[in-house]
Amino acid sequence: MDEVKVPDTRESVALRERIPIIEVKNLYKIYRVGETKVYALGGVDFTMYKGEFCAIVGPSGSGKSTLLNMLAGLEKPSKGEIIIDKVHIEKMKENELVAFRRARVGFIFQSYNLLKTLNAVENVALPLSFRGMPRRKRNEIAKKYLKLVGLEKQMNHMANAMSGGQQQRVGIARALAVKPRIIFADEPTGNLDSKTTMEILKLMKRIVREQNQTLVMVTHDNHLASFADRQFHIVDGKIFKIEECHHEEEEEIK
Amino acid sequence: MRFLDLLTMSVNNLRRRKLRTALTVLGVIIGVASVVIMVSLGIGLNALMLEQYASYGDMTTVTVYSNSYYGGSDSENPEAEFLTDEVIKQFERLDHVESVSPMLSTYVIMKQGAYETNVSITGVSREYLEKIPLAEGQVPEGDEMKLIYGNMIIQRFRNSKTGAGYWDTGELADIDYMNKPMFVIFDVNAYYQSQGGGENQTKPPKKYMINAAGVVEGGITDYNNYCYSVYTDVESLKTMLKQIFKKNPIPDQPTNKKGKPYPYFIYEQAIVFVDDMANVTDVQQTLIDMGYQADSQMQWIEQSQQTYDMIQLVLGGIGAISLFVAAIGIANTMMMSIYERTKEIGVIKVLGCDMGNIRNMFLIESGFIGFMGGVIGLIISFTVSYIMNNYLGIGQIMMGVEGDISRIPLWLAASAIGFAILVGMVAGFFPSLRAMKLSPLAAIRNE
Repeated sequence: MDEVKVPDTRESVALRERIPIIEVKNLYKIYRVGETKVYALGGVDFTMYKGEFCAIVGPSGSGKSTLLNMLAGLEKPSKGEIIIDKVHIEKMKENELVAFRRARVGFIFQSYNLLKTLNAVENVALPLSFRGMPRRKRNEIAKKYLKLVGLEKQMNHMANAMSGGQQQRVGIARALAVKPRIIFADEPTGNLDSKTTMEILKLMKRIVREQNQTLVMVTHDNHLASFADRQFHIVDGKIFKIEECHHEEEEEIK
Repeated sequence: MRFLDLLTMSVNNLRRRKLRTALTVLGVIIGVASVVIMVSLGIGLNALMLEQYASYGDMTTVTVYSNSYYGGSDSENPEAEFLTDEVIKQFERLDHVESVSPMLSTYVIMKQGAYETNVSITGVSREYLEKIPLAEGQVPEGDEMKLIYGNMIIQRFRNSKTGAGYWDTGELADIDYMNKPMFVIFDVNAYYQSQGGGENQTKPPKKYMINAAGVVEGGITDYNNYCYSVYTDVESLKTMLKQIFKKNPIPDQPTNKKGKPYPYFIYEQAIVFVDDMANVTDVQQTLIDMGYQADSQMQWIEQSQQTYDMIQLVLGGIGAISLFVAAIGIANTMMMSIYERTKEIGVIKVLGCDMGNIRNMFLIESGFIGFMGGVIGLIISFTVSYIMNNYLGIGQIMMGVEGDISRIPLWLAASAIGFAILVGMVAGFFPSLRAMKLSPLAAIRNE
């Protein structure tokens, strides 16, 4: 593992008194295919901290998506512990997991996954409606976040009347609108061209910084991963190395 | 999640697939309309039957006969079974009995001007008289005997010289009940003997002038329960008969084994008024158990009602089959919809939509299909019912009476919609459980 010393800046000071938000201990995920056992994850340990932008990087089939699914409570681990915001989620029942996600997690998908029957504002307001927020209030919040991602003009567009980049911005606004502690992003730029990819990436990073949220992004692209504060390289279900990045690069992308 | 938000989402989803929703709703429409129309026919038939019976006579009365009156009893002691004032009082003490009227008939000859007829005068209680609907006049007051004429009685008068009546000439007798007196001959036997001529000719019996108290409502051809009789107060009739026949036997009254009359009046019938239709059968059975013959409309009605219940069950069953098919249609539509929306369901699950909310969303969707089908089906039912009642005259053909053959009471309309919603939700229940249990991972999979 390569640990790179960070010079004393405002952010590195903040990092030193860092609060763990995701703790993973000895995590296994085993699939049975006929008689043989396939180790999707074979013993993973790490900690992610509040306000951090982490990237989980690896080739396809490395188990990175499985890891993300388990962190978000979409899949159950075979063995090990996942503690998110001091709560063990590995033993939760499905409806508890749903409630957990509703309260603490935002999610950005590769294929955006907006509801086609709803317009931009309604899509962003959707997770708020799951919390029982009245329509007027949640639409106000949704509009605020759509402005934040630069979609003032497309607020009433239907989901499939927008470009991929625009849809992903809506997706980001939707993830942010619930003010989550953690945002999971699963290959968020996977379906976008390189120019839009950069825009989206910058946008995510800026907003997460501003709101002091934790962003966990899964990607197979090393270049994209290099924008993160830390990169978790994962190969064959094991963490291969954790790389901490110079934050000059961040200045660069700004 | 708020109910309104759930409803909006469900309705939006239905609107997304308009044709499929419309086809599924069409199934429910047909199902609901067939159930409602079938049941309404059953209700209509039953009501028509009741109306028909009601036109024959009061449905809350039981008519009691005594076997002994006609000599039909094998009993050693026929006196015990006679309907006397004593027995009438006994009947009045029974549960659910409002009042009891004796019926005492006597056969007389009536004359007015050139016209005469043979007719029975029936003595009944005041309560009975008060139930008769009168076209003119009123129930007689006091002890004097006065008559109430049935509206069809006038047909029976014939010209005493030619012997021709209404049925021969088609001309009604010129009778004025209210303003001209009626002469009544009670001792009919003596009258015929006096008319016979020859050696046996006797002095004709005395004629009594008796005034009318009223005439029963209805035209001369309008059949009703009272149209063919002449009524009077039973007490005044008894007084009159005693006065006329004195110690001699009164015609139509039974005699004992020695041929002597009894010292009291024996009624041929008694009418028992029951407080409610539901109790008629019980009262009737009690009277039969007491050793009398008892008849009521109820026994016929009950029999017919059983038949109509059967008919209704069969009709309803036929309708229910189409509703059942509609329910399968709903289940199928919901299943399809869930397969199509697997990803979407996964997404909302990832975003934190409660599992119960997902289930309810689909339940509302299928319930809404039922609701729409129910409402439209009901509208169609009302239309079809209206056409059947007003243009086709099916009631006339099937029952021979005027009236609505198809009736949709409020409870039927309300329960049809309620039931349609219920059917929708039951059909959507298992699909909705399936939706609830879908894996959120479906959302992560990339197309």
